[in-house]
Formats: sequence, structure tokens, C-alpha cells
Amino acid sequence: MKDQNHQAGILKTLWKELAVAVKLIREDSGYSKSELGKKLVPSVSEETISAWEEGHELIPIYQLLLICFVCGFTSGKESQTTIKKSAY
Amino acid sequence: MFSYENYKALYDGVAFFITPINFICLLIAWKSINTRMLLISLITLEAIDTLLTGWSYTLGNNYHFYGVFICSIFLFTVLFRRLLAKLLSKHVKLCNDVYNNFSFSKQEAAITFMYFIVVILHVVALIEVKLYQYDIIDVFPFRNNVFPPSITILHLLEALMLLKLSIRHLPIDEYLQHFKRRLTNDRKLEGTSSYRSSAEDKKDRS
Repeated sequence: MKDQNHQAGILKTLWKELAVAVKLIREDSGYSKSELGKKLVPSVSEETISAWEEGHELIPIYQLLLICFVCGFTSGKESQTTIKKSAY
Repeated sequence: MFSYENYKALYDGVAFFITPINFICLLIAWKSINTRMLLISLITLEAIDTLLTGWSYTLGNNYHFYGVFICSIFLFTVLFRRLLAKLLSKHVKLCNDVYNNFSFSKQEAAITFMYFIVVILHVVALIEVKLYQYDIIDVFPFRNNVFPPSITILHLLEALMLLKLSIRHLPIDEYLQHFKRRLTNDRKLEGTSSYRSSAEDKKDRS
């Protein structure tokens, strides 16, 4: 029982990390959620991308790889190089 | 046609030149903490892989098990770098900074995709070798003619991606550098004002 709980904890952690990674990849490549959704095969809605990025739904492995391919080798609109935190 | 034996020097040369490229990228991208952590991780794994190369050749037909294992380690290191930074944040200051200012660039996404393709190639080669070993097939064309050039091309693409990543400015690193510069200036001003106030105190006392 303890092992199962521990395994579930590890999977949840990895799931959360994938969600964070997908969001950052998409932002860095300059795609909006709807643009990225249309590029995937099969295409997905903006709500699905949001669910993946917030960790509400598990990203299928093949979609994760497609996101890596689309965002890694192509780019959306030019991403603005704005400073994230406006502390200054 | 493209077998390993025919082009051994080329394939080995490309495989072993990745480590110097990683060092060059590390020197170029030293200021970017995210890229620095990524490259240090990759160089460490390359070193471990190089040390285990001799042993891996003794595995013979089971070599591709090792290939799948080591490529998976590379894949997890890139994809779960934030988790790695979190685990090491209490022991290594760089990892603490990276965890608090994490960024995952699109070049890393491309590298993740390439590592996954390498894992797939190793799996296919393993299946083919095992089929040949148990006399189910007579030849292994994938392992001979497709696997070596594909791995070489992916190594070259990986090197290009790392070079591209090392020369770009990540927004989070620009913010960090600005923040650190401001912190340094504030400390200098505090030092100057405390010097002035102590100098004025001395003057008053005299």
C-alpha cells in the first residue's frame, strides 16, 4: 500500500513537470494555445492545451513528442523578449 | 552500404566530438544559468557514457539494451531538469537559482525529441539483432545501413541545437542579470553611504 502511494506520488510529480515543460516550450516558441492545438495531429482545442499545461489532464506521449517537434523546429509569432518580472 | 565498418572513422569521430562541442557551448553560455545547468548535466552524462563505452561493447548482442538505458537517462535529464534542480537545490546554489528561475527553451524541446528518436532507433535495432540471433531473420539491414547514419545525423543536429541555445539570450536570464546588477549597485551605494556616514562621524568627533 505504501509502495503504491509512493509510486502514485512519483507519477504525479513527473506529470506536473511535463505540464510545466509544455507551457514553457509553447511560450518560448511563440505559439498561442489555439495555434499549437491546430498544429498537433489530431488537432486539439485550446481548452485541452490549457488542461495539459495546468496539469488537469495527462498529456499523451505522442502529443508530447509532437509538441517538442513543432515547437522545437518551428516557431510561431516572434516571441517578445520582455522581462518576465517587472521588479524594476 | 552505410554500415559501421565502412565508415567507422566518420561515425566514431562525430560521436566523440559532441563532448568538446558541449564544453565550447558551456563557455559561451556560462552567464545563462539554465543553459549552464543543462550543459553541465549533459557533459557529466557524456563522461559516464564514455567511461562505460568499453564495457558496453562486451555486451555483444545486448549492446542496444545499454543504448536504450543511457539514451533514456539523457532524455529524462533534459525533460525533467526542473525536478533535478529541485532535488539538488539544497546542496548546489546553481540548482537553487535554476529552480527559482526555470526556463525550458524550444531548443531543449528539439533535443528531447531527438533523444526520443535515438531511443526508438536503439529499440528497433535491438529487436532486429534478437531476431537475427534466434535465426528468425537472415540479415539485419536496419542495424547495418540505417542505424549508424541516423545516429550520426542526430548527433550533428544535437550539436547544432546546443550551439544555437548557447548563443541566444533567454528572457529569464536577462531579468536575472538585470536583478543581480541592481543588487550589486545597491550594495555599492550602501557601502558608499555607510563610508560617508562613518567619515562624517569621525569628523564630528574630531
